[in-house]
Amino acid sequence: MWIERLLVRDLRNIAEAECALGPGLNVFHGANAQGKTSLLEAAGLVARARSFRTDDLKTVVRRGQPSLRAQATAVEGSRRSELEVELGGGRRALRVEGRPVTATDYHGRLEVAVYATDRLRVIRGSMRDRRQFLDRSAGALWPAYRRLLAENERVAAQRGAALERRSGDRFAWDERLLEHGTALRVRRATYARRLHEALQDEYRPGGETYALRLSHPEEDPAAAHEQLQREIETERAAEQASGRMRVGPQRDRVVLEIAGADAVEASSGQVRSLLLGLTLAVLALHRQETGHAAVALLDDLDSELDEERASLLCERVCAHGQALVTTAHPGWARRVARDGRLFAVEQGRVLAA
Amino acid sequence: MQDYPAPLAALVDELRRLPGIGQKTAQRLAFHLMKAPEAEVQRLAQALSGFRAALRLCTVCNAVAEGELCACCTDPGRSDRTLCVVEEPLNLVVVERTRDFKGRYHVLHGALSPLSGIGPDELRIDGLLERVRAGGVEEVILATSPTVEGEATAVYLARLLKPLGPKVTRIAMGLPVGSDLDWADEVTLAKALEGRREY
Ligand SMILES: Nc1ncnc2c1ncn2[C@@H]1O[C@H](COP(=O)(O)OP(=O)(O)O)[C@@H](O)[C@H]1O
Ligand SMILES: [Mg+2]
Ligand SMILES: [Zn+2]
Repeated sequence: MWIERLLVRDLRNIAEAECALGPGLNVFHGANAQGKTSLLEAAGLVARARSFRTDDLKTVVRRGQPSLRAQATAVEGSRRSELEVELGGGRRALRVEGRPVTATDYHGRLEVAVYATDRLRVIRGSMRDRRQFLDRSAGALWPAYRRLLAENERVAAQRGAALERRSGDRFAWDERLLEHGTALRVRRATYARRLHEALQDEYRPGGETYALRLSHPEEDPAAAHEQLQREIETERAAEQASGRMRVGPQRDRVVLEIAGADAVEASSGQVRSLLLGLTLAVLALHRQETGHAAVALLDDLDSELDEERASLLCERVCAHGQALVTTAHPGWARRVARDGRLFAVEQGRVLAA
Repeated sequence: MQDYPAPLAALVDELRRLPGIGQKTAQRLAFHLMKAPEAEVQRLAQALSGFRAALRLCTVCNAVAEGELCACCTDPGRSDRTLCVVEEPLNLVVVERTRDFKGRYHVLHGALSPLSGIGPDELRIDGLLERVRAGGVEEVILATSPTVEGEATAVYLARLLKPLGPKVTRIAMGLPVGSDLDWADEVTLAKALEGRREY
């Protein structure tokens, strides 16, 4: 799956840009603050209907403009589809072939995996950021996962409200949590295990060991069910007393380790390497499961790697599918883009070289 | 946008409050009514002003009724042995349309939703328990929606009803007819498996 054409209007400092992309490597170079990351953000926005930089979508719209539009022609084999996201006035419109569709209908038509320093919060941020990374990657792969996630959110919200109100229907919400929570945990555990396995085969500079583990790694539904039941029992009194939820998959922990130590304590270089490794693992897993490649969005790739390694990595990623890569170094950009397409980004304008 | 004369604007405003009707549809309806024959508009106005006063909730099952009791509760051809519990009066109409159910109903007027402040006390549950306690009910079919809230309501009712003696069943939830197995999520599929029948 790849993006043949990307059209961006009023997104951050980009008033209007249109690029004809190639199926393999596409390199965008330009000085700082010219709009390179914003261009990747636009590609991510079309794919996932959200920004990888922020949850506050109104900050993505170009200042002084009412709305933004990001549009892409996605190609899969001989099939083309026109995807479009429009944001403005607190509303989000999603269109396929120009026709409005629901979020459920929109998702899954184009997949991306992102490496960008804005994503470092996956490792350095809160537990919620880590869970979200895992859940969104798994959700991109399995439609059923997205539905489970939404239902779990609903159950958690209802059960939380029942606890707060101390209403007599608590046991009914416990039962719902047990059913939906178990299903989500089991699926999440499977995804986490496979991501961990893929992580071993991907980018690991200096051969460091990376690990991704869950606080609840049980993949057997019966055992996971029993465990959640025990947790609900154990916390019953405390939840009753505080009126607050203390159990459920919405609180589970995702552990990331570099060489056996918690990644939170690692150096920023190590953290960036792990994030890159994770991005490549997500791409590999997507390929294994679906048989086609997701689009790789790699921001400032050569700030993490030396030029030679960065070039090798581009080659590897593009052996499978499309990559959009940004760099501040025109020299490296020209060398690596020999087999691909080169674009210059300047003051929000994109020019094919 | 051009402002309408006040009476027209008032009508558009009222229509817009109805579920499923936005500004554009409300405008279209209002302009349609403006051009419609007087008699047609009068019939609509009468239906609107009269229907609330003429209707009430059945004192036994809480369905919409013209008198004290609804048509289902007074129908001698129906069996008292089976009760079908639904969330809304509209759900009853839908089950009735299948013409397969010959028992009686109980309408809860909602589903559990702590987020919206709806707990057991906000639903018409006491009446249901009374009916079952009075005896003669052999099966209670829980036909609440397959939503998170509808399921929780069914779980809640099952726990209260079972000790009272009747068989408590849940309508089979599962795959919509004509849907593809590949696209079913595991919760739906698990439900469908649970509700499987022997051939
Ligand atoms: N909502 C916005 N409206 C206008 N400009 C913005 C907005 N948000 C960010 N910018 C500006 O867009 C420019 C491009 O940012 P970015 O894409 O991160 O550049 P690069 O990746 O090339 O360094 C920056 O100068 C930034 O200040
Ligand atoms: Mg940047
Ligand atoms: Zn009745």
